[in-house]
Amino acid sequence: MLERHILGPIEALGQYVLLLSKAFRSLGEFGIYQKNLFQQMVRIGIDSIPIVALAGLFSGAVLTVQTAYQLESPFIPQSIIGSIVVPSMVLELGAVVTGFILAGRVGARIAAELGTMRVTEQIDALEAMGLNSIGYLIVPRVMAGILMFPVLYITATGVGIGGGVGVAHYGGFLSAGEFVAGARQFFSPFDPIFGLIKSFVFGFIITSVACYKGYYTGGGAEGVGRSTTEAAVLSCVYILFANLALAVLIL
Amino acid sequence: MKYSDELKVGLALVVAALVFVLGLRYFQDLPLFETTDSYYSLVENAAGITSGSPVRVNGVSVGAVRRVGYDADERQVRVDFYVEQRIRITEGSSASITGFSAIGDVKLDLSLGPADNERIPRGGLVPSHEEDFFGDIADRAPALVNRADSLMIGMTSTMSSVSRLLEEPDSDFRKTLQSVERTSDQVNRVLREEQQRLAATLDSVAHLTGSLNRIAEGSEDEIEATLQDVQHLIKRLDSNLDSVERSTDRLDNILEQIESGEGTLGLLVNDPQLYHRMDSTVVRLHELIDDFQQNPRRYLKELKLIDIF
Repeated sequence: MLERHILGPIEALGQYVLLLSKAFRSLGEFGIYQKNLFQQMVRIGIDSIPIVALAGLFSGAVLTVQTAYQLESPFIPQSIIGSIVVPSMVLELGAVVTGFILAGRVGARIAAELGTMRVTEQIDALEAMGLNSIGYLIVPRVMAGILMFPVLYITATGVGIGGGVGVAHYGGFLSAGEFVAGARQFFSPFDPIFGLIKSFVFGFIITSVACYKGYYTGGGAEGVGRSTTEAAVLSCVYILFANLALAVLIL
Repeated sequence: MKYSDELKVGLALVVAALVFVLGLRYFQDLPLFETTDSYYSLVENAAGITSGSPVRVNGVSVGAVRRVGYDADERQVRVDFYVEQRIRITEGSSASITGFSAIGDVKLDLSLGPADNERIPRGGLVPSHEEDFFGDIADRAPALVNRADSLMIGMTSTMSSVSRLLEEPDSDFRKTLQSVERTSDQVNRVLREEQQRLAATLDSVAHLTGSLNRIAEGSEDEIEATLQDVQHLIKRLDSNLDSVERSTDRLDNILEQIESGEGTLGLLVNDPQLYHRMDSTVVRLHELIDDFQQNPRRYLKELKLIDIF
């Protein structure tokens, strides 16, 4: 009981931190992971752009329509819709929607990849060849996550605001000019920087949790399935916690 | 054509960075590609201005506030802001914070100095002048409150005397009100009675009209004939009256002649001599007849009528 519910998670945390510290120690060995890094950046980043843009577009459009629906009052200027939608996208939705989508798309993939390599003893083979498997497999993935996640965040936010303006303008809620005027009225330059910080953190969480789950997979094909599920679910959970922690600490 | 992974990644990063910077400038209301100059100003009170608040010249947005912080050396609030480079901020320019933070509409208004003056160097100080709208109100507030207070006191005393008047059972005001009430009661009663009578009158009028209508409907032809007769009669009367008029005219003429003494009748009327003579004649005739009766022989002697005898 004690071992399972208290010591178990603490042990897991220690294992996770040790893995990451090993990864950071091998950060200098750029030659090992250089080729892998760009490959992972394309797979994690560039290949995710369409789905992230789609999610951003729809969340921005829906947010605009629903804000317009809620604020239907003669005392509130229409431009307030713009000043609600833009900061919402920049601060929250752009990063979180992207995070959830990538937790499924990227986290699951990394965990399955590494898990399969573990159960088919490819990782052991790498080690046997004298290669730093952590530097070779984990560092490029986590690096790719940290570097490409902001790109995806900017994509989602930009497309989302564009979707919001489009729906507002062509859906007859308010003109694009009013929307932008409202957005400018309450715009704070720190908001996008905070969103960027969030996206760095989320990218790190998703890829590192997935790598940890995949790297320490055990128990055959069933183990791969379990660690894939756990990677996706835990990334989502940690994103939620990190979101709250960042908001409390930085804002 | 196949692009290398490095190219794709690099392109994505560059585009994202560009979008980020341009988006930031766009929503800050800064020109996207033009360069800006930065200046700073020292004010007593930030009054709700934040980084991102617009900087305006004559109401047109030309920049944004970059940073607001407290300057411990100057013991004032330091406001750093960007302004488009084409705006020449010359010596004599000043900055002031306007708008209400409650509406979220706070901005930094610049009033530019004369165009001939030297330009304030980049990063230089633009002096501020405070447009203390709320301060003014706060200064005037005590006097305003006092006046409002005295007004309230006066209103209270007025209201209390009015209520006293109303409460006293034998005050004039109350009596007046009561008599007004009585009068209006009476008026009401009279109106009610009259209403009934009026209604009855109107009813009978309606009844009368109805029966008249009924009669008229039954004998329209007779009425028409009668009316024609009456018309005929009136015509005849008219002609009669004409002839009467003519007779009267002639009578008038005759009477005029008589009056003016023309003709026999006129003379008779107007000449007393003739009357006297006729009178005397009649008297003598009378004597003669009397004499004839008394002494017929005197006259019959000469009469030869009985000559046959």
